Order: sequence, then C-alpha cells, then structure tokens
Amino acid sequence: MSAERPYTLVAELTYTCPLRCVYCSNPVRAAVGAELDTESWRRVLREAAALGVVSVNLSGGEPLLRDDLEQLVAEARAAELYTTLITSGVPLTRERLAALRAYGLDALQLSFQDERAGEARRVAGAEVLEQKLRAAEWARALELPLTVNVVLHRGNLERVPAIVALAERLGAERLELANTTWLGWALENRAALLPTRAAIDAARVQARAAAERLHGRLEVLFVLPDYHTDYPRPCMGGWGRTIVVVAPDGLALPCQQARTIRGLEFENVRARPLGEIWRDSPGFRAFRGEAWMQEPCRSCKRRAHDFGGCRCQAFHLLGDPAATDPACRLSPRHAVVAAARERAESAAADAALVYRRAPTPE
Amino acid sequence: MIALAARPVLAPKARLRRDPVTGGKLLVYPERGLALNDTGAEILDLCDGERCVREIIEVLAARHGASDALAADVRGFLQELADRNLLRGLEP
Repeated sequence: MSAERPYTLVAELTYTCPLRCVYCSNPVRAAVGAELDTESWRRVLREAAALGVVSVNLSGGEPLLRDDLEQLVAEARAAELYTTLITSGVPLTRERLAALRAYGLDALQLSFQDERAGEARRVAGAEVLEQKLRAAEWARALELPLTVNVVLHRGNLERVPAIVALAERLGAERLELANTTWLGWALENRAALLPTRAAIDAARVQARAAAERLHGRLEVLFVLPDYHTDYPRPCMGGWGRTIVVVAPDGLALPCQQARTIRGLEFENVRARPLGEIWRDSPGFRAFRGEAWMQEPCRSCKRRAHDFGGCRCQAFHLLGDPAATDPACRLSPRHAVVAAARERAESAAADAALVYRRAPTPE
Repeated sequence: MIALAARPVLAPKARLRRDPVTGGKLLVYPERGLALNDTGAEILDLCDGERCVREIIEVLAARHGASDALAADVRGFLQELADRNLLRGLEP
C-alpha cells in the first residue's frame, strides 16, 4: 500500500497547558523529549507543504505558550497553508490575536468545556469561561472565523441546546459537539464521564434539530459517540492516509495517541524529512491499507469506510493494535466496550476525577 | 435554489488556492477542503460580490454557449457552496 498525500498537518507545538481537562487527548504515560525549536518547526511546515499538505492545525497542549507562534504562523502563511489555531484561549490577549491575524492566521478554534462557569471549572481544573468568552469576542471583532469545540460527556450532554445557543451568540461559523474519545485522560476518567445511552440519544436529536435550523449559517457537527454506535469511527480518516501529526518533541505520528502503542517504531523530524517519514517509516506503514487487518475486518464491507476503527483503542483496550476496534459490534471482543457502557447506565453522578498532567520529559 | 439576483462572493473563511499535487484548484476552509473542477473554478472566479448570478451565467454563456443546463449547473454549484456557508452576498 503506497502512501497517499496528507492534506492536514497537526502541529502539536507543546504538551504544556494551563488547563488540566479530565478528557485531554494528550498521551498519559509517554516519555517525551525536548520541544522542537523555531527553526525545526519552520522546516516542518515547509516540508509539509511540499508533501501536499494544504492546512495546518497549530495545536497542543496550549500553542499560545510558544512565544514563537507568530513566526510559525508567518511561515505557514508563506507556505500557503490554511492555518488554524486550536486553543483554550486562556493565555490569549486581544493584541496577540490581532498580531496573529496580521501574520496570516486564517481561523480560530476555541474549546469550551461548558456554558456554565462552575462546570467549566470542574472539568478544566481552572477558572476559564470568562476569558474564553472574551477571546471569542476578539475573534469576532477581528472577523476571524471561529469554530467552537465542546467535548461532550456525562456532565454536559444535556446542555447541548444551551451550548448551541452560546455558539450562535458568539457568531461561530462551526460548532463541533465532539463526543469524548475514550483514550488518553478520558480513558482514565471513563467511569466518571461515560454517559448513558438515553443522554446521547437526546443530545443527538437536539444537535440534528440545531443543524437543520442553522443550516447555511452555523455548521453543527455531532461527532459520533464511539461506544454507542454499532460501528467504529473512521479514526483519523485512516492510519497515515490524510493527516500527519508532529508531536512537540518532533515525533511524526499518524495520530496524537499513536506513540502510546508499544512496539511501533516512529521517527523524528529532527533526523529525517517529514515526507520520507510519511512514505516509509515503519510506524506509518504498520496499519496503512488493509493487509494488516484481522477478521472480521478483513472481509467486512465497511472496511473501506471505517478502516477497522481506532488502532489506539484496540491496543489500549485489548492489547493488540491490529485487532478490530472493540467499539465495533462485530468485534469478537466487543464485550469490553459493552460492559463499560452497561456500567455507565448505573454509575454514580459525581465520581472523582483525575486531572490531566503534562507528559513527563525524558 | 440561489436567487438570480444574488451577488455572491467567497466567504472570508475560505481560501482558493492551487493544489500543488494535482495542479487543480482547491477551496480550503476550516477542517475541510473542496477540489474544484475547471468549471467550478471559473464560476468562482466570477463571484466578486458585484456581478449577480444572472450576469455570471451570461458571461459563461458568452464564453461557452448558452444552454438551460449551464444556468442549472451554475446555480447548483453556487447552492452547494452556500449550503457549506462559503458564500456571502446571497440576499438580493
């Protein structure tokens, strides 16, 4: 299976973040090296553009903690990349957002935990809501297209109508109602955060109604809840197929979590050009195409649609990254997910939360 | 369907650029991209917020010959962009 070209680069500029969100998708236990310097990131941006990447998500951690962010936005713009800043908005100032816009930033994605200050604090482990509202106002004043991203879980699923109203009020172009992906810190907190089926079904109906009502004005996206659909999500649009991630320490990855899969060999952009890593590194080749698939994926008609689901989920729940994603009801080991889902139906309302810490440097 | 009197222009969030791999035109916007064929790129080129849809169709008809299919194709294409919230100037 030869490599297609990636369209999107996810540049994780740092794992550091002032927030401690209980569902953070950064790796929980990963030895990470020192962060790439400015020149290395600029080279990565140019190499990505040469490889066919057309958009870059500047992400983290909290990318605003990099004081070279302006330079990286300028480099991305020079390489004609569509540049989106994915941020909590917490360390942002009006002046800095205006500067980033002037350097060529195309769009802003702002995360919200909840539209209630207390609940947002409980999830993020910090006081965040007021500042986020200010950041959204600045984006609007600068005519910077705004995506509002809200991770959905047991604690806020019933707030979907209020969250939609918030996104409308903020003048967002796009609202991502992203049901939690149960990896990273979310897996540590799964018992406390996994919702009931009734809550998901209600939210899905509300999201669909909002999408219809706001059609052509505000795009409302309801990201499918992994444990409550019959089939797995097409994770990353397929392994090493359309998205390339570069982690803060320079490891090039098919997804943000992939470095947590033991036994895979990933390469660093410090040592080799991004295009070469994308095309031939063992880690990218491991689950590209279909040759690696086991049954029931191997003969399944859906394999071209969902690519066998999430490799990280197969590894973290089953210990085998080549297994069918256990979120799939056709998986012989689907009981692992079904059991978690059943426990959620009767779980206590206010279980203790484990707050996110940044991965430890080597 | 998009009104003939609308004066469409690309929304600020979208950027039209050349695809370095295929050589074709790509419309890029948050979290998405749309590969345009030559006709789509030509239509979008004419969307300057000044011309109305009727005039856009007339320009294309003068270049390629008028037909009912042309008008329907132009309006269908613009409506697809409008559905993705990629156009401004839709209120006549």
